[in-house]
Amino acid sequence: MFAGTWNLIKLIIRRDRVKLLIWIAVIVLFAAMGPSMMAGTAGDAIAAQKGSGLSFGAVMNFITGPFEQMDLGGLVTIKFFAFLALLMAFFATLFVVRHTRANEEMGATELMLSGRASRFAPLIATLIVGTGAILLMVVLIALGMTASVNTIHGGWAAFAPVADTIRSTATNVGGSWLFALGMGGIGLSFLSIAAIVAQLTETSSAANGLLGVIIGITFVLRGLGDVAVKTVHGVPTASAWSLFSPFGWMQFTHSLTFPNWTPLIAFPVFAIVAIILAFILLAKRDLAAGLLPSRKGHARASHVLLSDLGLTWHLQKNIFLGWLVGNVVLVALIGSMGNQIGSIYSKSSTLSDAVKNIGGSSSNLTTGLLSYMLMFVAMTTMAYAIQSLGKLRAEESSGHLENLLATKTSRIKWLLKTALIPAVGAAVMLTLSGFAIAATASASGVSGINFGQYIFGTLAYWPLVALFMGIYVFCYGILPRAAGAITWIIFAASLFVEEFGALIKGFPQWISNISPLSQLSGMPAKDVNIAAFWIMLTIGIVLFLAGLISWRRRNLTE
Amino acid sequence: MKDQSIIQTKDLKKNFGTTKALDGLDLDVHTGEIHGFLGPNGAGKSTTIRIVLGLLHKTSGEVKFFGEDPWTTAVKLHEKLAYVPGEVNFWPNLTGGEIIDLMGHLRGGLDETRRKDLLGKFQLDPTKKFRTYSKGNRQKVALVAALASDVPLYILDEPTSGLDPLMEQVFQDEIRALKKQGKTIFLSSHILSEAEALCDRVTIIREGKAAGVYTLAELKKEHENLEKLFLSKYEGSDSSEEK
Repeated sequence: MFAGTWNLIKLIIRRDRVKLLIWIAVIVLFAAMGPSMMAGTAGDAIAAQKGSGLSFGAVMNFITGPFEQMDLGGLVTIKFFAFLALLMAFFATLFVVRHTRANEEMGATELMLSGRASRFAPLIATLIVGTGAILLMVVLIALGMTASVNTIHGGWAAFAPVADTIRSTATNVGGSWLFALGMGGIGLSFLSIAAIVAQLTETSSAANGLLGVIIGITFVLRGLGDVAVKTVHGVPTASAWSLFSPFGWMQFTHSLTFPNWTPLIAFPVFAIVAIILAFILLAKRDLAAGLLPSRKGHARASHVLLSDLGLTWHLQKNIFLGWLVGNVVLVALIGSMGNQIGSIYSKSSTLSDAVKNIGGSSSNLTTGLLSYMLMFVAMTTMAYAIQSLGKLRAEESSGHLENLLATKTSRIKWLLKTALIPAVGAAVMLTLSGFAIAATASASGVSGINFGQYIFGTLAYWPLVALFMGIYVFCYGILPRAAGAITWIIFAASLFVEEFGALIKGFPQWISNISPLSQLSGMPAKDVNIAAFWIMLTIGIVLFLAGLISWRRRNLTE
Repeated sequence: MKDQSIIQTKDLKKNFGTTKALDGLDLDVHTGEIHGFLGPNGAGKSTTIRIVLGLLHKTSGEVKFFGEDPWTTAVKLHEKLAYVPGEVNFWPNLTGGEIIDLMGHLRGGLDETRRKDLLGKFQLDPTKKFRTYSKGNRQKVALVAALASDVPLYILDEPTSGLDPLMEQVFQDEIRALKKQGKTIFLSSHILSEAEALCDRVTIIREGKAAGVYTLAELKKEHENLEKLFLSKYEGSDSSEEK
């Protein structure tokens, strides 16, 4: 059963030596920087909350989890939990699929198993290296967080307004380890879920797609749990929805606020059951086969496929539909909670100030918070456009493009057609999201929703999409192999500046000023920054055209 | 004879960084002939074809394709050819039938009777997703897609790798039938028996240069067979073949 495992372990480490280091470094650095990053402005943020006795409320709970305690621990939790937990989940699932189903799909597993390796060795080796990486992250996160929080007077309980403190028992060391173990538990859970899913589908892209959906659903389940949060014995506790999500299990530990070690047991129990199931499925199936049936296709191409945009739509439609459904479901859930926002927050003037800072100058809290959510939609729409444009490079490097360009398809037309789908797709996504949030908020009883204001306010984010499409195509023209990496790094940096820039003491203001996301934000509560709108649109188009010209002139590269 | 040439290169050079892929290649493919392009792996066959198709930019030298520069007029020239790439990579979740239709459509038309006829002869199931085909069947998808198009020129880069001997025979019959219709076939290969059975003329390429151009008649006079000739071109070059 274990034959060949050791060699495969070495192979995985050799193949992923850089990738693993980057994942570990990013996750650990974020977690470790958390406390000191927040310390600079934590006092202000908590003061803004003081007196309300309430957390950010339903809508914010849905995304970040509840603000359990008005102190550093509570603040670090809402700022970092969701982000780090999602990174962990994606790390684990991408890692497993890459070393199991993807190898099988390209035929590498066949070669390995023809040697002295057992049928189970690839999955065993993958799980061992994955678990090892997660354990390493746990240790480094715990040590990093402890070191970071030790520099702050008061530790995790720092900045608590005395009157509001119920009790806070998170010690510097204990809280940090519990947080790290919870994160590790999430990683382990998704590692084992991925082990099952990798047995079900025939292709790695189908496995990754299915796992993306599972991560989305479990994240939403815990969001629903957090919306209905109740205070039990002085501790804010999520409702039963969260029991069905690994993200929820971690939250039940309240690691940085009201530490409770018992829920941790859920992770190993779940992982063991899931991994046993994965091995049972693996034992039952043939090499390269999935358990979900693969369908027979059409003998003839449809008119849709033969139409002008047929092929490029075929290649990009799953990406579009996935992001569209995700976005619309998310905003619909948020919009339908719209009525709760108004009733809770109209009582608290301090809190409304805080929300106004987020959402802009509007005196209407509901509009402010809904606008804040639409910023998330703008970010995911940009991510969608970048991912969809990634088809440019994928088609070229896979050799598919060579077939096309040997026909009467011109290079310029091919690129324009491929870019048209995300350009229009993003506009559709923004419009529908604006409409969905307005419609659901209206239906939930929020009065005075102006549909046009929401739709056009959301659509006003489109220049950001154009800007990032321009960046991608520009890089694609001059540095095709690095185009994706460069664009994603710029995108991630913009998100970082937007999310955390204001929280870091002494963070250079000029960087915030040139960050595209901070220039165009807060619509429809805030007015559209007309200058930024046109500047970004222009830069995007110029970069796009420059990329198009260099693409026309360069060699095809593999 | 210049007006007869469909593909012509003179002193064609192509560098990838410091590697010289082509080092002064002369090539002349005439209208209506089956022209073999022979050479070992890494000799520059596929690079030459990609330059002729306008997918790669030459470093220096001359390329004429239907009398024009393929880099600047690629699209117009592509209406006149069908291409089977050396590595057949199509979209994994389209079926063979869909790919054949799509490629035919993009080349400007597909002969329906021909499509049906070729699917039968090559015994290809068009309802399977491309990723589920075996190596030989993938090759058949590319071949049917190319041969079902009615164009003056067929550029085939190692088109029979992975085909079984029965299918190889079907392939050779089809190529001969095309020649009878006056089509030109540019066939890159290292299956010498295939080239010997089909070609009117062959160009042998070695380290990015033409090592000789022969009509089959000349060849038969001077050498016992193509294999002897081919091997004589590479004698003593073992060390230079290794990277």
